[in-house]
Amino acid sequence: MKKVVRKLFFVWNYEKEEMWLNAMSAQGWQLKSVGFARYEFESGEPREFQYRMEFLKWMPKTEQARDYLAFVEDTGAEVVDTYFQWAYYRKPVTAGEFEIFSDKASLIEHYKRLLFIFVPLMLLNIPIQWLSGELVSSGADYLVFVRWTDYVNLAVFLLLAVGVGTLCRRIRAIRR
Amino acid sequence: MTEASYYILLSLLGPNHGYGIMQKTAQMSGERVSLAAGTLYGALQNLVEKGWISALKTEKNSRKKEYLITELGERVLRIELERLQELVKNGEALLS
Repeated sequence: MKKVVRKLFFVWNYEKEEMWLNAMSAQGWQLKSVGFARYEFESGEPREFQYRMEFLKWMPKTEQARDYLAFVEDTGAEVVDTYFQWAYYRKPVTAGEFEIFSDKASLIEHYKRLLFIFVPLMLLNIPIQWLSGELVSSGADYLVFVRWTDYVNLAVFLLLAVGVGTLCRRIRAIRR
Repeated sequence: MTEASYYILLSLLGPNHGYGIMQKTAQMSGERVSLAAGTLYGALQNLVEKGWISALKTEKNSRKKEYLITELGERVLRIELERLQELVKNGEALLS
């Protein structure tokens, strides 16, 4: 039996997504494929697999990523699916504890990969905000449009700032 | 040197692949040191860059890479062993 669930997670809270996938597994729903806010499950044994996620260093189709994913599979894990730069892994529960990172340094490095994406995106919002401010002061008559995009831009900036803040807090907590 | 690097180097005194290194490290340390796949891969790349280990040529169509310690790696390992022996010797002398 198959089941499709639509659900949205913030990427900086990917541990919640992992926990949810493991909770689904506990109920006997085993992940089959992942899309944008879309998860397809297949019914299986409850608690058959443990799931883990990783934000890869490379896009999944690149030679480096393929080498890496083959390496992970050699260690007894299965690459269930990849989506954008995310990999979804699982390992039978009987194989024991399943982690992708086993020391502080590599865990921090994983969070930094995400920061590397989000910090530039967040900073990009500043010139955009400034540019739309310029348009307003130049007295353009599409003022209403500019105002509206200002709010969207600000909302995106704040959301990204929350993400960056969350990731920085995580890194600090690991270092301690 | 980190514990992980030390055990990786010891595991590579003979040719070995990723999963083999994980198993050997777990076995030598009585399951105390576990190397997860992502952490191990990063560590191997780092050791290759330092020139302490090298990746062996593999057959075509095979992605299963084997690694082996280099001469430089062995020298580094011996220096580390001497350092550890000094630590143990002094600890034993003062604590016994």
